[in-house]
Amino acid sequence: MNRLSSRTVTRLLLGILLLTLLAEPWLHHHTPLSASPFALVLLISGFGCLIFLAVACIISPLISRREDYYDQ
Amino acid sequence: MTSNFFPPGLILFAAVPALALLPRRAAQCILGLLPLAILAYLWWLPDSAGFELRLAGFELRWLHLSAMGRLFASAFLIATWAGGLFAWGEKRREWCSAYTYAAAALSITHCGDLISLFIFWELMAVASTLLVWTGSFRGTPAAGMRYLLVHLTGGVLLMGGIAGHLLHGGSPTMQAMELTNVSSGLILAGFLINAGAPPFSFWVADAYPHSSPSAMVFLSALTTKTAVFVLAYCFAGTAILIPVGLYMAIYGVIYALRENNVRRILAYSIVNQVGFMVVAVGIGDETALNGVTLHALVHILYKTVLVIAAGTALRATGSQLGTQLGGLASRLPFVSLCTVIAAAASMGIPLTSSFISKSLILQSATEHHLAGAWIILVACSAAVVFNAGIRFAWLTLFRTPDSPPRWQENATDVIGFQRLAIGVPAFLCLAIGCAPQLFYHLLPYQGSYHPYTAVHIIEQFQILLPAIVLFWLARPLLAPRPLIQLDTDWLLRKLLLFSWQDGVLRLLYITLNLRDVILTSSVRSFKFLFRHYGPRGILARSWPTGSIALWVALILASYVVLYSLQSRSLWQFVHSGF
Repeated sequence: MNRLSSRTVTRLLLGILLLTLLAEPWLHHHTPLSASPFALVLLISGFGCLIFLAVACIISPLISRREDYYDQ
Repeated sequence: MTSNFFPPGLILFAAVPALALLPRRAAQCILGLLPLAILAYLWWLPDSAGFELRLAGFELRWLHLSAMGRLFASAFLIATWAGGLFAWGEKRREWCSAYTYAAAALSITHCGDLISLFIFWELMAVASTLLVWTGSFRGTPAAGMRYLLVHLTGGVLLMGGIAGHLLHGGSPTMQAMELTNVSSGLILAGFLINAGAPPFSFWVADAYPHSSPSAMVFLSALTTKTAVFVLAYCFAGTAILIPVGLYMAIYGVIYALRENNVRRILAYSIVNQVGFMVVAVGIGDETALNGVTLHALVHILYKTVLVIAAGTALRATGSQLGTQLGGLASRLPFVSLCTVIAAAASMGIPLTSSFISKSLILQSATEHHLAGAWIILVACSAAVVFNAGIRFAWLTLFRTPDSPPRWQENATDVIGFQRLAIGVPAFLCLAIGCAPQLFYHLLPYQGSYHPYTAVHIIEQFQILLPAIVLFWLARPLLAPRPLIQLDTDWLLRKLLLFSWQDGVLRLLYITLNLRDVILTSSVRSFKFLFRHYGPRGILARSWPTGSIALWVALILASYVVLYSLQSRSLWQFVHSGF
């Protein structure tokens, strides 16, 4: 049941994402870029968050310590 | 033309002795009513209102109203009121520290000269340190000391800058400055340290989670936003602030992503959002400054709600770690509702406050063709989902805990005045989002903004949805782990430890040794003198007459011998071999 609801939420989110993508041809974005590629904002948001996640995962082992690190 | 009115900040200062001395019920009435009364007074004051006094040869202007200052002051007063209600049952010590701190911050928003600014700046540093020390965590005293150290450093830089500025014939009036000499550089550095700029961004996440649940409400609203106010007032359009702000925005996102402590997640989120404001100050045009003012107000409101939610969870469970929280939504329904509204406001979902404020900052970046800054700000807007947006609420309230904790039975929702403390700011988050034109009219510069266009609404969903999908899919990666993250404070702590062990302790050791040597030799000298000249000393005794005669004879004989040795006859006598 839990797994099913999880799948449903995933589908729902992807559905809404697709809807905003479908509206893209009718949108005129006001951006500072000279050229405005298709789904620019979606791409910036998606790739930006992916990069943040990747950076956090890469540096996490380097900067993470046990909770009592400073006590020692 | 100015007319004398009593400054709102001074009224709040005047309440501090009353909070300390009046019966508890009367003091609680002050907590509940005074900030609202001062808020009404602030908006009643005419634009020309002033209050000036002479101190040590300086003309101090303690009341100089501006549109930006009024909005910042209003946000401070609302946060002080909410914090006061949330601190209803706390000790008077916390109330007095909080009101001194709030009064100093409030005074900065309407002071008109640099000397007064410095006085209130330092007062704020000391009072906020006392507020950090209200926490009852093991690391609280040390965190408070680090906080004080950082803020006193900022204060020293600010003082140096102001002194240099005045020595070079600069005006003591608070006005726009240009980054052209060392003095203005020092003033800017002093402001930036309080804003949580690199390399001192760590102090926000280090100090705030160590304070008490209610103290963090005041802390999260006042220090960084006061710094944003003075930056916007004095350094609008200073280009160096754009990269500084972008760093802060990214730093807040990256560190909050894997953080376990929910109140620290909110602290990182503060740095992230203040980064947006600092970028806008760096851009410095009218739209950007309107964006800074409105976003500061909005941020204070939704962060007040989130901090109170975290504080309620902390009071209910005794923990602020994500690994030990979760599943509280059913126990804290009102807090959960307000948290959802504030989280939506933090992400900028349409009909909430951030939707209308953050768009002004993005619009100003677009108008100035700052493509790189715009891309980073859009990505950071999306990444709010990973800190104050969804992850905080998920960890604290909605995540199913690994094992059902025992404290869940005792966890109770906020009641009485504390409902007002969290409910009113949450309502304001919705009100600002639903009626933006009302608030746009209060901004420092008049402009025509229309946030509710189809393009803007869909664009906002395009910004947020990829982040929400990623969060949903990467939940296992974002689950809390019982670890801490090292920050640049690691260097400060090492430096402090090194200077303590190899500096202070060694110096102390040498000083103690030197003191021992001096003391020992003094005692020996005294003993020697006492032995010879004391009441029973060898030279103080009475001697027998025979002994005296013998000594006199011996001394005379030695005199004769010495005298004879000098005389030639005796010398010859010796050489002749008798």
